[in-house]
Amino acid sequence: MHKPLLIDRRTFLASTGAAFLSCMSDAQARAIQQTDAIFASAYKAPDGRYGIATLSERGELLHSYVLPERGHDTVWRADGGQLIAFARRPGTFAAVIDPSGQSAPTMINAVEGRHFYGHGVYSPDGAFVFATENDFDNARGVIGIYNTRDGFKRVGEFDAHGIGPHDMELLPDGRTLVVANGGIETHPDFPRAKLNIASMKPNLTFLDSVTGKLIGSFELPKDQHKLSIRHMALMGDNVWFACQNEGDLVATTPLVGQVSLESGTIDMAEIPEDVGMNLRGYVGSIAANEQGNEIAFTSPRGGILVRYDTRTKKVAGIKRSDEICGVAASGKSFAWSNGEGAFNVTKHFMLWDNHISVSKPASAHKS
Amino acid sequence: MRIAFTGLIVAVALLTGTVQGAFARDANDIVRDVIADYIRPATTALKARANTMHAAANVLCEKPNAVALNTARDEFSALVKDWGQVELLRLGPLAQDNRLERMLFWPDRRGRGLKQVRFIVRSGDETALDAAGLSEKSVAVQGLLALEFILFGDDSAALTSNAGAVRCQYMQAITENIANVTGEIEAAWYDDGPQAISTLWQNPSDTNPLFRDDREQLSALFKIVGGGLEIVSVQRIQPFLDDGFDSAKPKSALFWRSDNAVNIIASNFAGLNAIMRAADLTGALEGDVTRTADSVFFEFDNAARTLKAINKPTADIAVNADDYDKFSYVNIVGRSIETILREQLSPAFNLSSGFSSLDGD
Repeated sequence: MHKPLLIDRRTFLASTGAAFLSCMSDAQARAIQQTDAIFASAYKAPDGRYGIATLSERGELLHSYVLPERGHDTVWRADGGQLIAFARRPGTFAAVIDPSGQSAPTMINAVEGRHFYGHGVYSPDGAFVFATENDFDNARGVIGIYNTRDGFKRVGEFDAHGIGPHDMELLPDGRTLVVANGGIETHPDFPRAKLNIASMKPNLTFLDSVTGKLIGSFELPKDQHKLSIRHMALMGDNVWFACQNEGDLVATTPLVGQVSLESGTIDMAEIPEDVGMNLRGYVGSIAANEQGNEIAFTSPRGGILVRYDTRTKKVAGIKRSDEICGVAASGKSFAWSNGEGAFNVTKHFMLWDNHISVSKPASAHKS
Repeated sequence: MRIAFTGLIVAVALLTGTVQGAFARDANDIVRDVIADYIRPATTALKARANTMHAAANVLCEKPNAVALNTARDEFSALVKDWGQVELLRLGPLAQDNRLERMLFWPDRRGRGLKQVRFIVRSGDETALDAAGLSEKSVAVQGLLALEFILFGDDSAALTSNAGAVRCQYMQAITENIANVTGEIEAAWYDDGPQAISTLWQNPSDTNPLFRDDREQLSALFKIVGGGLEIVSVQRIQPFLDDGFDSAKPKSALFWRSDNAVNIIASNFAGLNAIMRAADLTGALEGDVTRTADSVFFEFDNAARTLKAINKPTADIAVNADDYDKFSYVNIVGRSIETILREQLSPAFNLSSGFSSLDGD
C-alpha cells in the first residue's frame, strides 16, 4: 500500500541500526547488512502481546517493539529515520518508533472525542503527520495534524469530508492528500458495530494538506454504495483503491478501481469472475509496484493475493495462502505476509496484521 | 472431511492403518444438520411469531383496550425471543436487502431512529402507515426498535383508546413489515435453488462464490457462533456494564424499554448453544479435543442458569450489585466459549485464525 521511500544507503543502514551491530546477534547483523529494504508490520505475539516489527526483504526479523494494544498500519518518515505505528480502530494511540532499535517507542494519544483509524502519512519534510481519525460523537471523519517537531502536539484537524476515513496517501506533488472514506459509522461505545450500513456512502476525497481545502471527491455509483473504500496505493498520480463489500456476497462485485484528479472518474478494474469471487467481498490491502507496472491486492478471507498488470489490464498472477493480507512492493514484485506467521519465505511465531510498509535506499530501488 | 482433517486422518492412519471411515461426520454432515435441525426451524418459528404479533396488533387496533395492549406486549417479548435465535445468522438472507437493519436498527446511538419514529407518530405521516410505504422508508423506522417504542415508549398507553389510532396504524404497518421480512428470511433458508444460501453452504466448489471447500464451510459456522458471542459481549453486555457497577448504564441495553434485555441475551446464548448441538462436532473429532467440544455445553449451561437468575427489571443492575455481577459473569463465560472456539476447536479443524480477516480493517 505504500510507495517505497528513496533514501541513501548510509541513512538506510543507520535506520536499521547497523551502527549498533555489535549489540546484535550474528543473524540479525547479517540480515541488516544484506537487506536492500526494511519492512515494518504490526503483529500479535504468541504470548498475546502486540507490537511492531521491522524485517529484512527475506522476512528476517530485525527489531521488534511492544505496543499496548493491537497496531494496524505503519508509516515511515521520508529519510527512514522514524516510523509511526497507528492503533487499530478504535484505538487511541500512535507509537513513534526509532527503527534503529536504540530507543523505546514514544506514544501519541488521541485527543478527547477522537480515535485513530489505523492509518496516516508524513508531510514530505517530516514536520507533520496526518492521521485519519473519528470524531465519533458527531459521526464525522477528520484528519488530525501533528507537529513532529513539537512533541507530536496535535495542532489542528481537517474535515475528511466523509464518514469512516481509513487509509490516506500523499500524492507525488507532496501536498495533496487522498483519503479513503469507508462510509461506515462506528462509535467506541459499541466497538466495531456498524451503525449505518443501509445508508453508507463511501468516497475518495482529495484535500490540500496545507489549507485543508476540499479539492475533489468521488463516489461510487449508487448501486455500489455498500462497497466500503478502505485502502489505496499510488502509481504516480493515479490512485488505486480497494473495497470491502458490506452487501450481498453471492453476486461478485468489482472491488478494485482507480481514480485520479486528472481523469475525474472512477474506473473499476475488470477482474475475471473466477478470480473476483475468491476475494470473498473483502480486499484487506493493496500495493503498487511502478517498476513492474503492477498492483497487488489481497483477500485474507479468500486466502489469495492477486497481481494485476495495469498496462494490459489483466491478472498477472495469483498466490494462495491462508490469511494472506500484508503486501508491499519489493524489487519488481511484492512482499507479502499472513495472519498465520509467514512473511515472504520466512515463518514466524507472530501473526502479522493487515499491512506492510517499506523503506528502501535509492540504490536498491533502481536495481 | 476431505481436507480439513488431513492431519488427524494421517495420525489415525498411522495408528490403525486405515483412513476410510475414521470419522462419523464430515463438514457436509455438520452443515446439513445445522441448517435442517436448527436454522430452518428457527426461521419458521420467527415467521410464525411475527404473524401472531401482527394479528395481536390488528386486534388491538380494532378494539383498543388494556387487555389487548398487554397481549400485544407479550407477543412482542415472544417475538424478541424468537428473533434472538435468528439474528446472529449473519450470512445469507440477513446480509441481503438490508434485512438485518430493517429488523433491528441498533445501536441507535444518537437517537436518530427514535426521532423519526416520534415524528411519524406526531405527524401521522401517511407514507409510513402501511407496510408497503414503510418498507421504502429509513430502516430505522421499520423494525423491532420502532415497534418497542410504540408498545412501551412514551404515551404508549394511548393504544388503549382511539386517541392512539395513528400510533396503532403505524404499529400495524411495522408488524406487517416484520412479518414480510421474516417470511423472506425463512423462504431464503428453505430455498434449494443453485444460488441459494443453503445450497451454496452444502456444496463447496471452485465456482461457489462463498464456499470453496470444507474449511470455508466450517469457518462460516465458527464465524456465526464466535462472531455471535463477540456481538453479545462487546455490543450487548459490555456497553451497559461499562467500567463498573457505579457507572452501569442500563439504558444502553438492547430492548431495555420493554425489559427484554435479559431475554434477548438469553435467547442469543440459547440459539448459539443449539447451533453447536446441531453441529455435533464431537462426531468429527477424536481424542482429547472431543472433551473440549463438549465443554462448551457446560459453559452455555452456566450462562443460561445465571441469566435465568437475574432479576427484572434489568434497570436494577444499576442498584443491584448481585445482578450486575451476574451479567459480568455471563460476559466472561461468553468470552470463554469464544476463546475455546478460536484457540482449540478451530485449530482442531485446521481452520485459519482469522487474525487478518476480522471485520473491516
